[in-house]
Amino acid sequence: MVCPVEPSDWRRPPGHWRFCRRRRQAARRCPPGPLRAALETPLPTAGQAVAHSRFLAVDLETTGLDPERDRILSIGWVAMDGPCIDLATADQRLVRAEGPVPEASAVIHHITDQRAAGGIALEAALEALFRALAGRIMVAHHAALEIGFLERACQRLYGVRPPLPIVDTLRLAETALRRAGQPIPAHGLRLHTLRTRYNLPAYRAHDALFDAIAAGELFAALLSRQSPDGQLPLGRVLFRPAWLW
Amino acid sequence: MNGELEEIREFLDQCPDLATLPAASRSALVRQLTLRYLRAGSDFPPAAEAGLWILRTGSVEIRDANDTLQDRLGEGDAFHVPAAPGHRLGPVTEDSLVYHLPLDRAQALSARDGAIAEFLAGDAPRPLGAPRGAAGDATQGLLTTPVRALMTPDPVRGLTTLSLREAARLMDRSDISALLLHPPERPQEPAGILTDTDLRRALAREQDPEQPVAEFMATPLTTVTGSTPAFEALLRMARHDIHHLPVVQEHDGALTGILSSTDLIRHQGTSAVYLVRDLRRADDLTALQGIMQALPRLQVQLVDTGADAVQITQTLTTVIDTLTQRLIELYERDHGSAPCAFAWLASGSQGRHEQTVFTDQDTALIIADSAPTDADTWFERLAQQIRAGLDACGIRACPGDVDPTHPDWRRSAADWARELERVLHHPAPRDAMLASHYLDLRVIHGDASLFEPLRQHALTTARRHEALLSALADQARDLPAPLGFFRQFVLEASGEHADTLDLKMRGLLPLVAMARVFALNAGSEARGTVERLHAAAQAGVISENTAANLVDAWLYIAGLRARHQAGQIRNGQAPDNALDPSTLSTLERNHLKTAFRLVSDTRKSALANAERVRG
Repeated sequence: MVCPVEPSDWRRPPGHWRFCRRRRQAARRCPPGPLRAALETPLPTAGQAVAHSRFLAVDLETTGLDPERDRILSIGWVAMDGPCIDLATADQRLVRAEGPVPEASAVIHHITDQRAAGGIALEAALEALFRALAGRIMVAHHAALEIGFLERACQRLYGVRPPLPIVDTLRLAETALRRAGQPIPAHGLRLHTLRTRYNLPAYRAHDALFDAIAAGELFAALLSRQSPDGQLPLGRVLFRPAWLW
Repeated sequence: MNGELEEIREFLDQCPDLATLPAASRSALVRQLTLRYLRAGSDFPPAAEAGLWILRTGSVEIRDANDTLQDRLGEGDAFHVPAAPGHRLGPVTEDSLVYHLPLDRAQALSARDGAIAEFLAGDAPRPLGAPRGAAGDATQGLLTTPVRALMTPDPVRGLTTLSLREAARLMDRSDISALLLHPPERPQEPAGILTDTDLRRALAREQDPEQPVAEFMATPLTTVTGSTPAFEALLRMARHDIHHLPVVQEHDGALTGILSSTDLIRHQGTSAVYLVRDLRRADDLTALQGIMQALPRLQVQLVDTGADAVQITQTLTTVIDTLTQRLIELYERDHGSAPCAFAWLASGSQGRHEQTVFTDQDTALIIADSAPTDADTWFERLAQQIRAGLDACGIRACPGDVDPTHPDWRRSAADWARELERVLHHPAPRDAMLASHYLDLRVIHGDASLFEPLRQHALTTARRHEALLSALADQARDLPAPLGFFRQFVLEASGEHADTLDLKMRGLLPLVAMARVFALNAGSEARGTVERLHAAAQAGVISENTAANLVDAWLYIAGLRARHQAGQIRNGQAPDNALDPSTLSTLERNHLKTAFRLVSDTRKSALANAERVRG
């Protein structure tokens, strides 16, 4: 699979080439299916304008914060074409529980044992997600968590840790606030707090779907400030920890 | 499984603009929407895109080619752009999250869903004006007016044991054409009715007048309840060929009134004319009081026949003017003619010809300079008597003492001239209230030449004085805004009318105050708000467009108030200005919001222009 990055592109983020190679390798080791198809779909160049890039805002509800120990309860997503969210693509999957849902997380997500029993197998849920993800860049609030859980799940199910490019709205907002010289209060980077700051509505629901929509809206709000004309290169909004790129 | 977008559908359900859509169509709409974030200062619609736009948060202005504000969209407002405009329609004024139904999806959806097709085809930018379905013809009035509103309450009754002669005497004495008869032990349960026709028939057949009336009365009775629509009562009369219907309570059948065919005819007819004629003929306060009891009914009738706010308020003001004139004439009859020429003036809504049935007294007195020294006693007593008389007839005495029992409002012509000069030419900031009262003064009775030249002189010179214009403009600006931050109605927070909207304070008074400034700047002598707005447009103080919009807003808010009060009268409640917005249909609520928005927006822009003397 070709990674269409021009060698002369000065906006090319460091490690992008390595990232593409790892994707190709992961795709080869992956069994045929939606994940493999997603990994084989070419990534846009890092220089492409955000307005013309395609995203998928994603949220996972989990039983805890540790990908090694905790489980995915549900996955929600909605597609974005540039900064425009398309509700026609809004979707979520509830994952069938393999054990009891810890009380602490049930309080937050309202996903009880009973509801979780009505879900589908994790593999089916992930396949639906990866079908939606093909050709799109993931957007999540506090992306490390989403990446950690998805990689762990894929490792277990397919034997690969897929390198997935992702936009982290938390990190973007933090940068924007620091650049504006604004102090960041405690909890100031929580999704809800940031949304209030940008005049976004409060949603009652705390399911994976509405949290995905919420993250997508926050991304749109951040983009409108950082790049009113949408010409900002995609590479500038991507979340790039050293181990990823 | 598709994710549930319940919360977004719930939001659409609350949007007034989408209220005409069936719920199923709104649900179908949700999944076709896209979401955009529009930053304050950016252009609306983004990329000049067509389609249906719905604001989830924030606000957007719609402006025409001359950059004149057409509408301001807030949370929950929808705006349909049927075709790509090729340019921006206005600025985004607050960061906004908007739902967008793109044109291609709108067309696809319309092909599947007739209701949406119709909605999108008919959803032109909202014009102000009469709300749909508000006006009605006289028949419709009869259809909706309950019998309770038209009947004569507490009718004269007689015992079934009376003789025919005694019954005839009772009817003659009470001047009635029908007598309800009840058995001695059950006074609330009429057993029969005796009418003029029955008496005529008895006489023609040479019946003994000492026979008991029970032999002649019609029984059993055909009755109606108070809530029966008048039209149904009319049908019942026609069907039974009768002219009187006893009105009874629904739950226990107790008698509450009587409805005659004349009552129905009067409801259809020009009762204002009769009312004024009756007032002119009335001989004493008691008679005037009795006639004025019909005033609430007159307002109900005017509303039901589809009269607009100008017609309604002018008619009611004419009746109250006539009442005042008659009270003064009666005083002169009883206390001798006035010691010198004088004029009785009205200010406030009466001065502007804008009264409703819920009104109070704003009056003044001007006395000729030739008055003999002891004349004031006569005028002071006149003032007291008229104040009490109006109050007895349901026109409340002013709580702020704007009436000539107070020497400030009872002055000689020379004194008034000085006072007008002081307040209109060199107003202290706290004189704005007084000045607006003075500008609305109108002669109701007496010698108009005592006052009109003073007013004309004051007006033509006062408009050269910026101090008055800016004092009045400040006053207009300071009146409480009707719409809150999120374009919601600002409701009264406490007191008897908590959680209601004061249509007068928040809607009409800001408009009235604005029109006063415009008219003063235009040098117009007009007093009515609509008249003043037209005069100001003619003189170029405001644009024709602004004037037309403000006139529409006034007609709508004043019309809504008249309907609100008519509804209260029908339900047997005391009329007031406190409207509960939740009783409005979503369409009406939306209409009212648009009218309020217009008032708030114009207030900012137009007042700033109008407070400077032109040329």
